[in-house]
Amino acid sequence: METFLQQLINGLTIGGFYAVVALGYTMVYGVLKLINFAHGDMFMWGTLTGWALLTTVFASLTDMDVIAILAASIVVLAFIGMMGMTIERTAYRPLRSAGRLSPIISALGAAFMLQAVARNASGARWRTYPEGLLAELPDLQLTGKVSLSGLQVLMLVICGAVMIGLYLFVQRTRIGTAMRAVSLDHDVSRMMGINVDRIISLVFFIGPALGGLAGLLIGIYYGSFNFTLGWVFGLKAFIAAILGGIGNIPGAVIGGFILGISETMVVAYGPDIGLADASAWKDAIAYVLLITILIARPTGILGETVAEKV
Amino acid sequence: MNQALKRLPRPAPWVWDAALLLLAVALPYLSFMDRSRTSLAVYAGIYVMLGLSLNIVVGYAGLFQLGHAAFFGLGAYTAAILSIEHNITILATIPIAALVAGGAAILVSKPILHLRGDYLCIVTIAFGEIFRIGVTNNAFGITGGSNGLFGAGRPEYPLPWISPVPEIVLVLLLIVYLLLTQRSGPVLQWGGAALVALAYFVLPPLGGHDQLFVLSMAMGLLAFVMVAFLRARRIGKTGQVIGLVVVVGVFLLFGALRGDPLAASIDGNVDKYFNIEDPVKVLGVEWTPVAFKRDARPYYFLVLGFIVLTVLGMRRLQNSRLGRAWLYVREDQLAAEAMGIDTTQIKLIAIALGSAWAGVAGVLYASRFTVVAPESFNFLQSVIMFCIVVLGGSGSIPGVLVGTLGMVVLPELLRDVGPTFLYEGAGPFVILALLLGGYLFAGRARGQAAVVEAGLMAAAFFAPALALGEAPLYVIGLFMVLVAIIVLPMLRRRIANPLPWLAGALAIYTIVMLAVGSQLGPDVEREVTAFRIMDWRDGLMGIAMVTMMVLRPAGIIPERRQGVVMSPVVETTDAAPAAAVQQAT
Repeated sequence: METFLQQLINGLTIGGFYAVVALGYTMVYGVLKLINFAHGDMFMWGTLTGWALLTTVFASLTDMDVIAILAASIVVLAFIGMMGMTIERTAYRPLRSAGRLSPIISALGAAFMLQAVARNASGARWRTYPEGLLAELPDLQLTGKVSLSGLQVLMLVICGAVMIGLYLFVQRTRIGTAMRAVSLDHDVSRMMGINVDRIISLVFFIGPALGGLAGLLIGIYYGSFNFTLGWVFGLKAFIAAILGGIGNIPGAVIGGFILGISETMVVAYGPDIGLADASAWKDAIAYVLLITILIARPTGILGETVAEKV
Repeated sequence: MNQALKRLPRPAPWVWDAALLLLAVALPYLSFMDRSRTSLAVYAGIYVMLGLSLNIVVGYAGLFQLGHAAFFGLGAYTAAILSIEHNITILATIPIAALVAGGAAILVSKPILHLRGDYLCIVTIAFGEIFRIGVTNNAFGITGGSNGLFGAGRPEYPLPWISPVPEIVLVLLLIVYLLLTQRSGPVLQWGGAALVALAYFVLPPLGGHDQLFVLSMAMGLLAFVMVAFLRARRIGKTGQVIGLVVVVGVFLLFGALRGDPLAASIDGNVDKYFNIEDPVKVLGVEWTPVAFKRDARPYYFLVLGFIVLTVLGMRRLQNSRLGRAWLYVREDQLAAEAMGIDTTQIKLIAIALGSAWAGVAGVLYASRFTVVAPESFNFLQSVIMFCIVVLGGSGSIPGVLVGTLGMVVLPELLRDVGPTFLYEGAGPFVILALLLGGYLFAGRARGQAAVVEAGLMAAAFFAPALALGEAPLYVIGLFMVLVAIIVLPMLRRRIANPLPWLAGALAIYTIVMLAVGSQLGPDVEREVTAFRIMDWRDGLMGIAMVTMMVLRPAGIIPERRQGVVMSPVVETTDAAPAAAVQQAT
């Protein structure tokens, strides 16, 4: 029971990251019906930018690591957000009326480009974040052997805050209403006086910015990364978004947590159920989960069944 | 200019095919094709096969498939396992590999086919990744883990001039011949067959060499062409007899006169490219197999043969009942269903066929490289195949060829090119000409203004480098031209006449360059020589993918029949790019 609880906590933390990255996928899909393959790499750029800032510009601030991280977060949010807007402007906007195939290629191209620049900027080897970031946070001792490290608590709190904040923003504000309108129908939204291009730009700011923030947090949590991080993690986060029903914000959150928890659980309990090298198969779990859920519910857990064409 | 071009007589389509085929046959003998480039041609050929197979799924049926590498891998692994563990000659594994890949595709696709486009896309990615993870972790203990399998056999086949091969070939030839000439009248049908059979057994003894059976086979094939020609021209009975006798006579004469050197050259080529193996007994008959040596040329022709077969098959498929059904499903699934097409069945056939053919490509891959490892079948490979299809023009066969050149051949050739071409020799001028030419013809700017703009850019490009004698400044110049080309359309949206702004910017650029150029030149040179193009290959590919899609969303050579189903007006073919340009400007 204690290991179970401990693994549940670990899974929740990973799931939180998946969920925040999945939000970016789901928002973009909501307004454009486009799989933004470059999102994972923008997330990785968040890790990379954070690393670059914390090892150079803010390196002298590591004694006051909270301030350093806060400053880095703000820069990462702004930088990755702008990156997202630029990519939308150059690679996606000209293709908005060009069918479904071309934007996919364009998105993959943007992902390749971001990866190549990152590889040349940081080198192909693994990079490590400065040690001892936020190390003085107290651990939270639950029952007996089950404990939450201070870092885990912080990550869960930040992820939770981001998700709730975004949900409230989309549901309660005027701009959020406009976003929901755009995701339903571009033309009608335009007739209602919504500047569709601006809303899409905004979505491409918020999504990547949050992804970048998750990237920075993941860098702090794991301590090391390399340029391929975005691809693998991004794909899994996208699967999380699909699991929950893409285009649906609570769905992305649920999908993220399901994925994070099942991954941790399979690795932890794999040997007991006869899967000897469970950790080697860890990456396959997400895919198997995806296929099973989609066979049962073709539009994801919270997805609505809509006819494609009438 | 377009009008003048339209008035020129257009060659018949088969002229293009013949020219292309001739080029393909001659390619390995051209002077610039060294060993590594021939090898690259074989590699590219395998990707053409993969592109064509994926084209069925993505291009014809309009399904998203981003896990095609898994079926390619299934074919390769099947061939390697059968060849290593069970000692089956590798080309004989083709039907098994095709069945395994196609069957697996049916099994995994059946439950997910009802998913909508993007969901299907992500599920195919998932299958591709599961396959890769599975073989990396040595699933079932037969895949060799992350190192893969070594020592798959090279292709072997029986010598075509040692009994019983010639007799079998003759029987097959005659059966096909008689079937194909059913409606050609008795002279062509029976007379032709008799002459072919006669010559088949006269020619080799006449020349005194069994190797001349190869010539007899060529003659048999030529007889097909001859019959088709005689029929098409509606030539009378006497003419038909004369035509056939002439074909056979020419071959007999050639065999009698040139038989010795021909047989010697066949022998020489066999020693050069093949190993003659010990005879094996199959079904009580002795066969002498030959096996490919490492040299790439035999593989080149093997792959070329498969490509030709595939292309011919695809063309028939495109216009068949099935091909038209795919088109309907792709263009409008609901309407297709209403017309009584079983959409699930049709899609399943597309996936099974495409995957099976990818499995065949996998066998060719395994036989060529003899090593089969998981990393050759990862997601990047699937993406490359997908890009080959979509970049070239989804659904278009020439598009696949062009796409392969762009996605497989060009990046490999870039390996040899040093970055100094950016400022040495004719390099900068070629790039400038391409940039400005692209700018003028892309239609973003029209008329005199565009020409003046291009002239300004060119002037600013040349001035500093020529005045200071610092060629490396061309690199900065190219960069500036590129920026100008991208910024100008944006500028034009805000101000009617951006010319003064452009002129001002370029003047400032020129003055600054003239002032600091002599110090900047050596720095740029140092940076450029330190630049390794291979590090940026993927990035360049990415930029090219985005640019190509933005400029030509329907691909380089779009499929002709796009949109023909829904609207009788043909304008839809150009509607997509036009709309995209409208959006961008």
